[in-house]
Amino acid sequence: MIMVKIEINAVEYEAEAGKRLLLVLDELGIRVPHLCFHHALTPAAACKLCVVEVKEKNRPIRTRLSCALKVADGMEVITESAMVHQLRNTAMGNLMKLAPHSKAIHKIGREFGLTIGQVPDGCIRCRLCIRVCSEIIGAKALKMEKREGRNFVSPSEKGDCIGCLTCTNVCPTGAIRFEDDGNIRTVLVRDEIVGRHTLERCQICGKLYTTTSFLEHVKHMDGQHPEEKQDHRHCPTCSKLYYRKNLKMTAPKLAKMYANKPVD
Amino acid sequence: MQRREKDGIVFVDHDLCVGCKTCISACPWGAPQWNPKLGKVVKCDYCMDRIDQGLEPACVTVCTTHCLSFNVTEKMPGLKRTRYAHAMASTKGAATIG
Repeated sequence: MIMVKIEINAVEYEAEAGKRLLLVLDELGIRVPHLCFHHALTPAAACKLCVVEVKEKNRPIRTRLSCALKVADGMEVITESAMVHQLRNTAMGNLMKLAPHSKAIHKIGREFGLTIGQVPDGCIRCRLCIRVCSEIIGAKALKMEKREGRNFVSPSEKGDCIGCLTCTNVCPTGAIRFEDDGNIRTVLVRDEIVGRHTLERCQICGKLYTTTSFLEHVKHMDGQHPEEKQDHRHCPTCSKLYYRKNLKMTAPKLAKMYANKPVD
Repeated sequence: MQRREKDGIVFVDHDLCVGCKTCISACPWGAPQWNPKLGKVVKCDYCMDRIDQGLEPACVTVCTTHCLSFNVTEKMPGLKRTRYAHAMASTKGAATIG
């Protein structure tokens, strides 16, 4: 093992000749960003984040990728400079184009003060969800909130979500979603919960078809038509198929069940 | 969901529908139904565009047994009575007619 003297950020160190510079820096505890390096594999120099400024003997200062560069005697290394920062930013930009959602890239960018731009969350800030919830539904469950200088659609404290899913329906990019787990429906924007609701079963087919709070909400909006509509909990399919007057044809058993009750 | 003044046809304007499903919940007959592909409510509009051209709704034109017919409400009871009378006169009787 031949040891050579190298200079890193104006401090002299001893290092094994021919060893990859990134490994040497790593062992010395000098942090250099990198994503594509693996100790067991030959370097690929793909992510280009590990760039450093290097002055080799009898050569001008150059920027080199430390993962691929082998240590030689008299090497002078600068791990942070304006040039290095600019190159890392460019590399970062290229990586962000390929993997904008990668948490690893965002983490490394924050750590080394590189430009990562806005973290994409799938929302284009069109406010369709906010507008439909306040103008049409009237629940006012969503609002725009400024966080660290950026606008985010977020649950509103003033309003009350009814779980009607109109927001998920109008969202052009699918940024608002819902999860039905058993008889619980959760409406989410990013990973923040807008509302949690119990689901109602259809009285005829037993399918979970809407939320309790939505039915309550409609009750208040709905004009009273007692001569035409009795209060029922039927899903859209069953209310079409098993409308009372049609029951004799479509569901004779149900017709018998309803026989003693007044026909609507 | 709107009502056409000239003939009272209730239809869904898909440009305006946001898919809140309130109409589905309100209708006693289950006429408005949900189209998950469109993300909008769909409802029979009696083939409005065909009617405007003086044609009958598509379902009426293809009905193999001619049990469907399309006309203004005032003319329908007469037709119904005629059919009922036919049914009464036939061997099956009126039992099958709701």
